[in-house]
Amino acid sequence: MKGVKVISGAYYDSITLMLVSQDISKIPGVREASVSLGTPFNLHVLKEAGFECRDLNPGPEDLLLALDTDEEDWEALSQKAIAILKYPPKKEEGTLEEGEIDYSLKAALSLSSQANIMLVSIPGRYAYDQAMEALRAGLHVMIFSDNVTIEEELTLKRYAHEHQLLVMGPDCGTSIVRGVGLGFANHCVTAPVGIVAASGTGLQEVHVQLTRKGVGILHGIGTGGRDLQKAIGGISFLDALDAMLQDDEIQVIGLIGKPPANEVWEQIQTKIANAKKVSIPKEVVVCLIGAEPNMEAMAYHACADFEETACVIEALLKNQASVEEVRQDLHRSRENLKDLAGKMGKRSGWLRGFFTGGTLCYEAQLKAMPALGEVYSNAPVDKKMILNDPLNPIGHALIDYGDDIFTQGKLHPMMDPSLRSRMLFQQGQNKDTGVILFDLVLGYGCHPNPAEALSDAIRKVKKARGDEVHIIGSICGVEEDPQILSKQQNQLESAGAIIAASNAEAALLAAYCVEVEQL
Amino acid sequence: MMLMKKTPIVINLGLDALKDALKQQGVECRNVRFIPPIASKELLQKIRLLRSAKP
Repeated sequence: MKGVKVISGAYYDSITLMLVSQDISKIPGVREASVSLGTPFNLHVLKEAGFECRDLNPGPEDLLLALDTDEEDWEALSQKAIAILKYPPKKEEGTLEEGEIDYSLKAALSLSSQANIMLVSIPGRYAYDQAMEALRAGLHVMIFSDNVTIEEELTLKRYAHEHQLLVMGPDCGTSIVRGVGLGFANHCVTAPVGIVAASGTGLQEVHVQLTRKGVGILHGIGTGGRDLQKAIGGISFLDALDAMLQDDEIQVIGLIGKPPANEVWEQIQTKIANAKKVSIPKEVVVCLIGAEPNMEAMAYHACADFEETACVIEALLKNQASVEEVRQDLHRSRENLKDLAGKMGKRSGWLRGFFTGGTLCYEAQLKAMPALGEVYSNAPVDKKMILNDPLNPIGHALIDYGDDIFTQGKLHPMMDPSLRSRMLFQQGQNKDTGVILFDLVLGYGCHPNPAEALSDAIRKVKKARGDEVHIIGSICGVEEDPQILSKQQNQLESAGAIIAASNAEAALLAAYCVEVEQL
Repeated sequence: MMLMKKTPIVINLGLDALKDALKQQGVECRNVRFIPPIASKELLQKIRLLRSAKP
């Protein structure tokens, strides 16, 4: 029996919920267990997995206890599960030394008066108050949390701007300051490069591509995805750009994000142009993912995707090849992907993508659309192509599993790869699926071995369908990351996946492998 | 901006995984344990208004 019980008024953070689910799964007689926040989407996930959810009406402060057991044992085992919930397991505190836990910001600051950044990753509805307290104490703030209102974000950023502080976020997954990664971040070597990014995985992809070329970055300032919208006016983005233009340690600046609101884009261009006028000797590379790059721009170099951005930054820094030469090299290598797809053989069926990085999913859609036409997503490039039920996609569909809908009360898929892997297996078995596309993001803060769950799912799909389906991916990571790039890649390739050099190339190869005429 | 001129010294409020990530990089970090308020949303908003009205 797959049943669900609603437990009222209990609060647990996402890590505790994951640990509780794991402990409950180990109770003899329990085949499958999960504990999640009582959101409509989590209820939908359980329904889709075959759990009986009729007449359940949980509130956002409730928990959903889902158990798969024999029917006669269900009630007794659910009581055992509730007992575990009352005394949840604690994550091993081995990494914390005695006296390193404080119970207020004031206490923490009294013991660490030189602290300059607060990193906030609590449920969004509580994040504003904590972030404002930190700003008032003179700290810069990185808000990893999502589900912060736009009004709260504006208030925080206005305050920060007035006090020469910076708010990175909300929903900021990655920042790098002086080579130190905050949030999800890859191993960093430093170079005189500074990036301002309204895109977490966009920043990571550019950083990783630069590191593989022997270049690094000094700063990668994440601003959160909404910063470039009209409502926020680019406050953090423009402040960070100012700081990079004034910083004598920076020679090349990269600007990454989706196309900004017109007013914000005007201000960005004005800042760059003014810097040129007063002979600030810095090159600027701009990647507005989704916008046609303005190749006529004189004040900056425009790029269409993250790999190209890294290639151009490298060229400007090393001065060994011209920007035009590196663009041509890149174009040639991408043309070769068509030949590779021909050799692999095209597959009839849909392209289905399983992403943990939001901007990587977005970039992949942009690369796939010219070959495939319409591509659906829960975070679509074309708003008309919105998927109402990302658990049951239609057509060519690329899903962002890091989207808010999946992460309320649950860990981000970069930390807990189980849902994304399960969905890849489910949809991979479907004969309508011809090509599978995925990303794998490594680095600090991420799951210690994300390739394991994914390889397992890939292996099962290959066992069921053999060569009927191509499985293509890319890894946003470097050898020095805790997960070790080569170890992750070996697992995936051994399971039957083809790993491309970048997210853009993986998406292109996947699109070229789809037999379009047969659909 | 002074943020970029100083190696980060971080106060982490929230996920232990992010604090662990900082420790793996040898970053100085203090951890604040978050205890969610039991106040209602309306009461929290009133508290917020009072705080912002402070001189």
